[in-house]
Amino acid sequence: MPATLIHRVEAWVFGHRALVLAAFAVATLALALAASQLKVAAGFEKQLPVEHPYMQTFLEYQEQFGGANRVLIAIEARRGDIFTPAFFNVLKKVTDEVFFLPGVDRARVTSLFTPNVRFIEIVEDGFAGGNVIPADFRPTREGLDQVRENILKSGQMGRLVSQDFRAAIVSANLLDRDPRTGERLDYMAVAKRLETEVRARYESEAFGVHVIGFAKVIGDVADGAAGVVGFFGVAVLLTALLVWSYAHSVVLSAMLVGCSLVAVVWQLGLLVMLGYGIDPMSLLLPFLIFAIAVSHGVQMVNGVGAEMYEGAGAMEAARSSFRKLLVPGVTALSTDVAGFLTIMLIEIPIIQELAVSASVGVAVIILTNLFLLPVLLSYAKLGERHRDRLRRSTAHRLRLWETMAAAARPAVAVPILVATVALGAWAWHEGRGMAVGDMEAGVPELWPDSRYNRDTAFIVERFAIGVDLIQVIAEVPANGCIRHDVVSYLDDFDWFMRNVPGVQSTLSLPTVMKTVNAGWNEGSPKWRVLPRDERVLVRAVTPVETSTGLLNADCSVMPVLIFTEDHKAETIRRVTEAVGAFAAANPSADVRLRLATGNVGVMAATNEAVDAAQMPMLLWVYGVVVALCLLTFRSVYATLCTVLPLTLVSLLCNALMAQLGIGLKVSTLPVAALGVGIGVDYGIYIFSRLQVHLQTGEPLPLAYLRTLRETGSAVIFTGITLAVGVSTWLFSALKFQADMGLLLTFMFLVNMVGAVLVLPALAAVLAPVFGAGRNRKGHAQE
Amino acid sequence: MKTLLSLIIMAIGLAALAASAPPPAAAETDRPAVPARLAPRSLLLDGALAGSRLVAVGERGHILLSDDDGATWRQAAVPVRATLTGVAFADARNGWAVGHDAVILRTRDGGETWTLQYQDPDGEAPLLDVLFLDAERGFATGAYGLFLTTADGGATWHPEPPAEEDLHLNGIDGAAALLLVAGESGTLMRSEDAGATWQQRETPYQGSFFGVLVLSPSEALAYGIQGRLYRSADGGRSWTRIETGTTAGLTGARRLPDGTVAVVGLSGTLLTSRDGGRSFALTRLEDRPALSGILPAGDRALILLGDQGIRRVDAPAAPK
Repeated sequence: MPATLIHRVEAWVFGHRALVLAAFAVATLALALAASQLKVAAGFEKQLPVEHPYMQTFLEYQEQFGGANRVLIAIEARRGDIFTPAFFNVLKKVTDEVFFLPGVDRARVTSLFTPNVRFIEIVEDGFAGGNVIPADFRPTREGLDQVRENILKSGQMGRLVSQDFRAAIVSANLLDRDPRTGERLDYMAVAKRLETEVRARYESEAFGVHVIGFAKVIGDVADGAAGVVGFFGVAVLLTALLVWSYAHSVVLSAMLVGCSLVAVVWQLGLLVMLGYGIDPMSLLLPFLIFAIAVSHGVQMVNGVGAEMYEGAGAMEAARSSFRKLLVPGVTALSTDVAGFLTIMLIEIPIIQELAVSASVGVAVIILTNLFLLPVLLSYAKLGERHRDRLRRSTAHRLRLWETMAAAARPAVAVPILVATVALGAWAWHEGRGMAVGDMEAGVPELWPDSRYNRDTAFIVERFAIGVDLIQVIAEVPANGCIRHDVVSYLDDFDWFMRNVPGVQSTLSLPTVMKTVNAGWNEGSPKWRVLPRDERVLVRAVTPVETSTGLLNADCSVMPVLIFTEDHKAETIRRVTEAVGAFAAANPSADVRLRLATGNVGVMAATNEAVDAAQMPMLLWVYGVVVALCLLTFRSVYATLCTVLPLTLVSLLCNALMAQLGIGLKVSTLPVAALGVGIGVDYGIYIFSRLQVHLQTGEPLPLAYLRTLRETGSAVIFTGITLAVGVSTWLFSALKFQADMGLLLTFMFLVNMVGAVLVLPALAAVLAPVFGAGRNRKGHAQE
Repeated sequence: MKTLLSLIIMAIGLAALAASAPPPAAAETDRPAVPARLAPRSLLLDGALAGSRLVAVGERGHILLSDDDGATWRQAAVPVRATLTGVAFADARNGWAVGHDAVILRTRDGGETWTLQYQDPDGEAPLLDVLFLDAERGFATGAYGLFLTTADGGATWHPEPPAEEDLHLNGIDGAAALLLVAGESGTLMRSEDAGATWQQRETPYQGSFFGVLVLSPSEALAYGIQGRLYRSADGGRSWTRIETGTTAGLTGARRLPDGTVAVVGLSGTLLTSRDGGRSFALTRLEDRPALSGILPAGDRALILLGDQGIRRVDAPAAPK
């Protein structure tokens, strides 16, 4: 930005202070009104990597064969087994309750009481079938015994009834849009009803109610997220205290915190105007925006404070700081925006919304903290007491700056860099152990010991069915299920997949057809084969209804259900690779195996999307940071000194994730971009001052000492402020928020250390290479 | 009636097959069985002893061997992928396995390696059981009256329709002095001349028998659908019903080394008798697997074969 333009802007802004303040006040009021309309939104489809080929399959078939959006309710008999009148009464009521949940695909509700649960029995003249719970069921001893036998014949052991007969399941699929009204399903409402109408009503000493499914996750996540709102207050309070201890002035602190809160209000208001809701992930943005706003504002407060300490008036000090900080401020915030925007490379709507709303938030800070704040500061009046306090703390810090400035002497710089490189090498080595996806059982958003994950553990333990399902959709010619070659192919595929380590069990039409074929042969297991004869195949498939979810009406689509033992990234990769390997080894003109539906299918696509986005995202964010640094400093030397420390921190972050078992996934991937985008701010603030001093011909150590005096405390303060803001997430009820908080805290602090220690060391070591520090004709920025 | 229906369906089916002519499937007999981690948990249908070695056969051409009374199993190399339904050994080395596509496999090394002796995938009639009197003379029975005999260790097989009706011949057992064949619609045939001639006796039951177990030249058991179990003390001329306490189909039987007679069936049914099959005690496996075969596993245990694969259970305690 040319110096004349800055002067003109400065003149206008400070010439119309009242107008500026009035404009901000009006805008803030309007946006606050908009922000009050903010709704919590959490759609299922928003979390899907929509561009991934698996998701095309998913969207195409989710209504027919159920997507990943299942709700399972396990009723547990805490005393004795399920064969009591009371248990069947509860099971029936829960089944009815589920049937009337909003968004439920009623045809696919499954429990012992639903008509789609049938058994097949071998009798003397063929085989007969019926509902597991007959129409004339009475909960008498005889009736219950009959049901027990029917369950055994139905093959539902382990599926709808636990292996030990002590629990039974009601299963339902939810549709993202209500099939009756066409409206988007309110998952929070479903979760609430599950809690109030099912759990609260039927859980007792005698019966346990265990509820799992995406809708419940959303509910629990929203509940947990609500707790985070409280943390916002804590973060603001802590930050205000920090600001006060730094600025030694209530007035300055209030102005800074106020401006930063204005930024948050604007961000939330703009979110509503963009048509976005807030979800558990973007709930963390206000923290981040607030922390970034404070940390940038502090540069302004610092500048104004320093000028006034030197004896300047408030107006003069504000204007001078505005001039000095406009360029580095805009640059730093632009890199933040760019960092956020690179997150859009991840083709998952919820992430892309996060990228947009974060970018908007940071862009807002440019207005609030680079314009509003200096204008406010120009009204500030600081007394003599403030000056005294400032003097004492400045003197106190001087020794610290002198010690730190040694980093710019070659004798100290070399050891620092050697240590840095060693650390980087270690981090690179460790970081390769970082996994993509989830590392733990249960729902990763929630803590392992949360009620939800304990319910999951209960169901996995008692039932043979996993809660982790990937469905491969086989597309075949119409009536494919009466072609021996087609069903044999699928049978081979089913068996192949069952043998893949990590697969718990499989289910597909051919398996059922073999059992039916045996049924037609008096139940003899020796006839559990797929007959070659088309007519005999017809006989084997006829009793299998489409409601089983194993075939469509004209038998041209048959899913193969693959239940996995867990949803660790490695397991998922092994399964998807096995599918590809089978298809490659058994090319077929008639059978097309398509990945994938089921929750694990979604995870597979998400993992692949995240993995694929990681490298481009980092390249882009670094590319943008490098470009902006080059633009600002017009110096390769400066750019290298600023950016290289960031790469160390990126490596360390990966190492930390590997060490702590945090996988690279939707919630942690943006952290890498945020860490770099925000982390570069420190370097920009430091180097922009350093450059000015170097250009006056000062030797590097002295120039750096001056830089530290001017901006060192602001940089350190910035790091601490950012870290405080995000570290409150560590106490979140949601594990992914805690993970994000941990990683961001780490990146903010280590980036700050990198900027004050590694940056000057690099500057010292690289100076001879670039002839820097001797070049007095460099480009002045002011 | 049912057989007739099956035949009609088959005939129509074959005609339809010829008419629509879908691309020919890779015949199960063209493709060798694949070693699989879960083969011991696949559908296993019959077992036999090759000396002290246990041999179990089942779906996908699986043949499993155990040399430690069933503690560990390994999968033999098999040239076909057809579902194998029966296995028999003449001695510790010479054995035969039969199955769908009317395959007959031969081993000369106690089950380590197998060669294909006979197949007829287009006949659409599976072989369901096999028996060898010695290393030369053997019988294979199957669906729709399929009955193959050999006198040269299986080098040549001869179809030998022993009955006028094309009923499934589900099982065969015995020795030269008494051979019995059990089948559909109460079929029970006997031979006292090593299979040279066969007589159909008046049947005690019109339902199907899945198998027979010959205990001595005079004593035998026949078992089948609906928990039906019959005993003969006169070489299969007359039969008396034995109460089993179950209506589950009975699919396999064996006399164990200690003289216990065990019968298995659908829905996890296990019947044991310590009095030569005059009375049985009923046990039901908790998870109700469809069982099909039995092998001894040392003194105290049994190996049960079925749709869950190999299941080792303790031998039911002797009644006091």
